[in-house]
Amino acid sequence: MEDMLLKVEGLCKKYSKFSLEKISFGIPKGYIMGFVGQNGAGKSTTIKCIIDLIPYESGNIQVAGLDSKRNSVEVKQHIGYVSEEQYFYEEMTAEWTGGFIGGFYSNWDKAYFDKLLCDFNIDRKKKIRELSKGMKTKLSLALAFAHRPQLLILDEPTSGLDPVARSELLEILSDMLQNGDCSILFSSHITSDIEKIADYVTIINKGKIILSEQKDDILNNWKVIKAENGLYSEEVCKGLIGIKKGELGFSGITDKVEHFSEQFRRINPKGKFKTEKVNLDELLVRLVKEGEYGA
Amino acid sequence: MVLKLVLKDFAVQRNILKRYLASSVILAVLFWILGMKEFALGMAMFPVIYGFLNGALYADEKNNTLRTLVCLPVRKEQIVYARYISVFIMTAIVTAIFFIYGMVAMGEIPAGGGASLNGGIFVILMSSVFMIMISIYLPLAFKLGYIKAAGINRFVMIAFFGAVSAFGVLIGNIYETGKLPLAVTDAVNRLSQLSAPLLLLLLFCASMLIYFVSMKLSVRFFKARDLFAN
Repeated sequence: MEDMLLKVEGLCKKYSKFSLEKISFGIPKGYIMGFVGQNGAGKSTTIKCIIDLIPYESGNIQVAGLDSKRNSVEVKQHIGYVSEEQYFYEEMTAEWTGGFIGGFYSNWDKAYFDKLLCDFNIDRKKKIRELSKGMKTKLSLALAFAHRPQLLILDEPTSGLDPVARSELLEILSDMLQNGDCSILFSSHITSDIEKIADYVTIINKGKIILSEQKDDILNNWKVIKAENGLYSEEVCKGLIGIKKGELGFSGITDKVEHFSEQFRRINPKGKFKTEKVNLDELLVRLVKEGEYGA
Repeated sequence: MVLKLVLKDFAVQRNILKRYLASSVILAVLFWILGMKEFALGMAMFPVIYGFLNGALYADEKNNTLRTLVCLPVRKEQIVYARYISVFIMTAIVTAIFFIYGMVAMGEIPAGGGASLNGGIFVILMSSVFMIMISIYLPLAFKLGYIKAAGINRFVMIAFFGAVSAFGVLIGNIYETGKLPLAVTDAVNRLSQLSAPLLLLLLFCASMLIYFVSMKLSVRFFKARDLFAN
């Protein structure tokens, strides 16, 4: 894990009914990582450990070469964080909020913050309680970006937004990314959002990382295999994950298509199967819900 | 950083504070006119200080803004220090206002044993008592959050005043019957020979020490508290 802006190694966090088990991944400088998993998989818990908001039992987390536990305050200077829920003083204005939060960052750029408020059409004099959820999320983004962070952490920022607001937010994010060089950890259970902008994807399920690779490699290597029910056998399906059986046929996914093909032809010399591209949504569902990683 | 957090406590309550201060001044004048000046301390001074403290705690609880504060590049102990400083400043401001009230309106107040206490000095005495009560309340708030702490604190206050009153009566009764240990009798005799301002200074210093210890306890509680627990 060299030249990584964010390095997570062997992170373990225990709750009474849930635990993170040896979470390890890294984000190189200037790249976006999509952090994907179903609700309750451990995404937010991992993120809170990274920002030192909750204690953890073991592991090593480094941001820009600094230990996140020992240098917590210094690390937070380099992190911009947007959480699923935004917590502001509802009776104060967006302008006051920017002034208050900006005072804690040495790299705060007030002119940039004002520009972002303008670009996002946020009335600086409006009280926070008068802003919609989408507006609060945009304000949160503006606050996160205005101090020029090296690492931007977005914890389900599009959750609860309507499709129009979500699309708008993703566009804003893409525009902002083109002008900057920060790395991003984008956590979401909405895989279509991740697929649009991520360079790397990490999938987490029940506190464990089950996949962490470049997005293009994932989408190129993993395929959906489909064949008729008459060709189904346990031996044929050994290499498949997330097997579904329907009236006409069965399907599963694999990242070893050639190996599966050899196996299939050995068992069913006259049989045929077809391969289809997989999207992140289907990959997540099959890996988590019905595959060997889900039980 | 701490200064920003202190100013924040005043900023988020600026509208309410104006109303508090205005109503406390009106109440103080009313009590003066009615000839019940001493009541102003309990009915006007105390609610302002506690109102400010509860307002600051409530603002953070209602908006969940402590979660935002801990995400900022600021240490948890600085968040605690700022709260203690803002409450102390508010107490000092209100004490200063009522000190003038005490000097002008209350005059000399009987203090028992033929002694009397200047009204202004009496105000400072009451402030010291308020600081001790706040020193009990704040660690609860940092440990449990505002809502739970406020509920517990009502009983703590009743117990506090009850215990202080009962203790005073008990010591007085035992002292008169001569059944106190010699060391305690000596201490009581020495204290009664001290001048009122000196006694007041001792109480003020004790209240500041208790306030400081309370702050350290609050830091410990707040660092251990999981603000993101469901």
